[in-house]
Amino acid sequence: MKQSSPRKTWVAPSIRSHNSGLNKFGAARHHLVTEAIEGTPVAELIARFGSPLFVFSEKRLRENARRLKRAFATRWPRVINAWSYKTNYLGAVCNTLHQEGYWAEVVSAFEYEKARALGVPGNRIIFNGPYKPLAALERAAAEGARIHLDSLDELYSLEEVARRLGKALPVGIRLNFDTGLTDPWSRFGFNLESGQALDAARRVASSPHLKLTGLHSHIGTFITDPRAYAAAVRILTAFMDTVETQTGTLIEYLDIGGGFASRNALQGVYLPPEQLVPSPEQYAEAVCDALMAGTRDREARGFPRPVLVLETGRAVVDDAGSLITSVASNKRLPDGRRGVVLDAGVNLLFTAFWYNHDVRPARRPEGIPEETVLYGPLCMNIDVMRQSVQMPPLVVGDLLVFNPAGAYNNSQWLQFIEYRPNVVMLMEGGGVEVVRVREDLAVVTAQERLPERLSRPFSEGCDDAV
Amino acid sequence: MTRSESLRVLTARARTFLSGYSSVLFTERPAVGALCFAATWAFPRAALGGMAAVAVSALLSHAFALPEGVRRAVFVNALLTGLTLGLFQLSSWLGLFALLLATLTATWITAALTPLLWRLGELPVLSLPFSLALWLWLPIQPAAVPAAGLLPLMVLPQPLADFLKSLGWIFLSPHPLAGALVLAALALASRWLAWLAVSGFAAGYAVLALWAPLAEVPPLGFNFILAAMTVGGIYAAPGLGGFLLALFAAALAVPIGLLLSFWLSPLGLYPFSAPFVAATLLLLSGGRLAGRGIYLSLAYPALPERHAEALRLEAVRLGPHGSVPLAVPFLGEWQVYQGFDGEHTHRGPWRHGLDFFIVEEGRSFGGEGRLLTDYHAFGLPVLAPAAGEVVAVRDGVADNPPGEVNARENWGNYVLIRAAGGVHVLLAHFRHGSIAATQGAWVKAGDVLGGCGNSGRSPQPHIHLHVQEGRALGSPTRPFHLVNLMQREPEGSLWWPARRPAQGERLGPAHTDSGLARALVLPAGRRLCFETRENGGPWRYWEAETVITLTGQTRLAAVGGASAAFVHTGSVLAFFDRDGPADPWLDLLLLAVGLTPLADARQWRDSPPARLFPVKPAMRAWLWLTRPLGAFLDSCYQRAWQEPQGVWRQSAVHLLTPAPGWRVRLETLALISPHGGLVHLAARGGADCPFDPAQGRGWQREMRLASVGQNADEGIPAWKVTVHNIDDIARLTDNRGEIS
Repeated sequence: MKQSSPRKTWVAPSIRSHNSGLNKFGAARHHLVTEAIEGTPVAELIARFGSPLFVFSEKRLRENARRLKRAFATRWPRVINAWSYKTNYLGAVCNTLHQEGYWAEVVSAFEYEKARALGVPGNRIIFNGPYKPLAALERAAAEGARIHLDSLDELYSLEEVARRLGKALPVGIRLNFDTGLTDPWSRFGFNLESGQALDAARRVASSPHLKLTGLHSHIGTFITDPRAYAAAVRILTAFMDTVETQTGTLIEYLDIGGGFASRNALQGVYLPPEQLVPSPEQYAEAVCDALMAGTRDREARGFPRPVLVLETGRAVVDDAGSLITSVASNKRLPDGRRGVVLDAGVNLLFTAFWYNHDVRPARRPEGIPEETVLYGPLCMNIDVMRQSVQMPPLVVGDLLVFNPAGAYNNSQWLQFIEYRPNVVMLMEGGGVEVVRVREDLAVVTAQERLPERLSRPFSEGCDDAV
Repeated sequence: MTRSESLRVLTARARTFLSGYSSVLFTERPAVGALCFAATWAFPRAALGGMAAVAVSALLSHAFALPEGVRRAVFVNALLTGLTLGLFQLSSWLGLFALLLATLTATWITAALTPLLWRLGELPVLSLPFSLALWLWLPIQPAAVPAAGLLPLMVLPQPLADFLKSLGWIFLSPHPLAGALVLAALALASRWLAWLAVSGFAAGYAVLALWAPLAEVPPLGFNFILAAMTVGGIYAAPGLGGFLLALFAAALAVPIGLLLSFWLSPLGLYPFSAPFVAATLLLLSGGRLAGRGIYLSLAYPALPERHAEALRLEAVRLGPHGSVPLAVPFLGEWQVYQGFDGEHTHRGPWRHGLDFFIVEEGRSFGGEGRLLTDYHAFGLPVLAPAAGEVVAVRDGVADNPPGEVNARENWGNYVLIRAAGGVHVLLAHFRHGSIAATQGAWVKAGDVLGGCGNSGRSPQPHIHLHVQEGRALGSPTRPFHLVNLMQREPEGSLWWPARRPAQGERLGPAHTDSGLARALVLPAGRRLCFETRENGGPWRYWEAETVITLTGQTRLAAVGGASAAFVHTGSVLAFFDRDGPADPWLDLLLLAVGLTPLADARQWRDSPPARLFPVKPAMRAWLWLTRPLGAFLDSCYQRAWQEPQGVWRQSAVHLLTPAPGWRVRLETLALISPHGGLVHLAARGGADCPFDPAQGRGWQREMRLASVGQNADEGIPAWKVTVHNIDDIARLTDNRGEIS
């Protein structure tokens, strides 16, 4: 009879690179921890509001908003900053930015309604997007929103709406073109190279019910080369001159959309964001220098310099939002890597599909970091938060902080097998406020209706217990 | 010509005639002229002589088609010539002949000297031709004692009798009663002038008593009066400086008068008004050359009350007198790092300087502040604050590391612009290698000159701005101020047409809202027709049109004759110089939109004259008594875009302070449509409004646009657009047309 003795399980021998301390690439990054956000301990936040938890910093949000605004306002006479709702339409986030003077940029009937419900007046809303239902167009037109046309069919609809309203409606048109530095997003708006855009401009200018006052473009997302914007501005200003000469209309504003990168690491990009991502000032300099050059002789010709409209999202909100999550379990993968299951996955951090979010433990690590895969709680293979990250040994209940996590997650998150957690905001004057309460069963099933016949799960007298 | 037409022509002629008399006292009011005319009749022969000379000069002006600008001076000089000859010797045909020749001479000298003196330094000809003409023609017959007057001699205290007689002498009627009439005319025209007459006479009289206590003195007193009034009232703005200058003018007329008497008496001549003219021209010319310190307006002589109003408006709207206006030299919101008389370097000859940088949350940098690029201001575009020629540029000085200064190359990299008026504007401490302007280039305000840097005596990136007299770097500075700016206040931004910011103030340039600017364009020949009503009464029409005067001033002229000048500079619409008869609707318009920035301004202030404020006669009398130079309102404006009506809603609260602690309030409202311009105007008195509240809610006036038209031009037909749907405009106001 063999005596049972505590024996270690056999582990296949492996060779591991040494990852602690210095290596030839410089200092290791894993000594970084996030013990507190804006002075509030992470552990305390989780104790109060549960895990996982989205945390927004009002101070950081306002700082970002002001910095971006200042970067452009100190380089161009008239700038309108608009808040891209789709990036994060939590009411607290939107109103923080509206208080900083940001307009609302919406791309759907829902977003339009949300902006109005938050108290944004119609004339401070920019209505973009490829699909604007007729009812939404009617409302937006009546309330004085700036509508950017995406297609000829939309143009015809809006013309009819304007005719019924009995006023000459100011509108803009969305353009797409090749900057030479970005992939053209040719599915949106009117193509410039093919002459479609000029046709559309002529069509709008010839309408008695519409007035062409603006040109809109959005050259893409997470654009890390400011020169792409300079190229876009050159194309837009040249097109503005063409349109004005050919149609006699006055273009009052140029909307260069959004797409400024945040300090986040896009997957497949080699350089770290600290080196890759331009500052707001760098974007502003590229855009405004090109604008100055492109509009140099405008005032001499009696035309005012156009208003510059920005629809920044990610660059304003991303690093103001963090996701705190707890370690649920550890496991060893067959290839020797460590796997850690967290209580938040791609259901909450949807952008983990494209970004390697920076993630840091909330306490000083003990032990040697090793390559780790961070998994979410979903029963799906794709639920990976980080494919590979150096992490010290973690125990169940340890907290990890993902940042930046403010952009797109609170609008793209999924209610898939889990409830969505609390979202809190660290207020500028101190204190923490819940800005979105965690969901529960009642919330998730609130919209469901059970037909009478299906009101019970099992039929009476049909007990098929064996 | 029908009888009524001829009556009208006659009335117009009479008005012209009487206003000619009043222009001796620098006004054009027929009532004032009538009093003066009456005063001349103390000596009927003088009065007749004056009238004859005026008739002769009118014929001459007409025959030789003298320019409009000279005719008034011709009238005055001819009148005085005629009065004098009449007073002294219009007793024979020879006298009549002398009158004819002297008038002809006076007219000719006036026509000759007016442009000459103007070119000499914008100096007025005054009554110099009159004295010259009489010196030439009076000796034809030895001077006789002045003819006896109509009026009985009066027993008055000597100084008072002298004063009144001196006043009478202005119209060659040396009699106390005539003098009293002239004094009444003066008081009617301007009480400040009357006050200057009294004090000027007192000053001259006192000096005369000291200088020539025993001498037999010819009539000189009216010279003291005229000198004081002209210098202190017509050409200098009312105030202590102007008053002292007036007293000096009166005193200066004494020795000049004595000297001229000494020279002229052997010839049997009087100095006439020459002492006054000499003293006045001397002081005006000197004052003009002094350039600063005394507020002299040579190009636009006016009554002191008008001066006071213009000065007040200038102070509020155009900035301190003599200060150089500059545009804000940057974009966005900056903070004043060091103001005038600053604690660091803005001292001594360089006391007029402004430094700007950017501060957020109490810091001028982000990050650690060890790199120049950490500083908010570093590299930002610096704009030309004025149009002009770039006369000097330096762009080779390295930027200092933060905290260090380069005192050797004090100004670092700089751009020096020679702007209008010959002043030089210096911008300094540019970023090394950033300067875009080149020497010899002409720039306009708003052009990018370079980037903000940290070169020269600059411990952290900032812009230094000053105005200097000469071209040499660091020559003494002159005061200046910034125009069309937004000042950041904790509760919002305040727009200022002109402001000299103090240290720590945050400000940025205002940017024109082109839609608003277009909506408020008032081209010449534009006709605006409003429907007006008071306290909900019946609607009545009121119409006004824009005109351009011969001198190029744009005015809004109501059909009743009331008018006001305005300017639309592209960044502001401003009304001023309200003229003509009472017109409550024009006054309402002037209060509601008197100063309207065409920028995205939300709040601003103005100080329009209180005469636009509708008050009861008793209050008007109180103000007339207590504020001889006119009172001003404290007006606070607010504007916001209003949806869904799609109009700018510009509301204002005007406060009148009749006495300390007593305030009367008036609210005005203007709705400005991007398409129709001014579509609705309203005024409402509060509970403390001096008007009788017709209803319980207080008194109210409303105007709504009925039609917009344009007068015809050669080849261009007139047009008129009627506002079809009054409801459209009525809908713009709140329920029942009430202002809220």
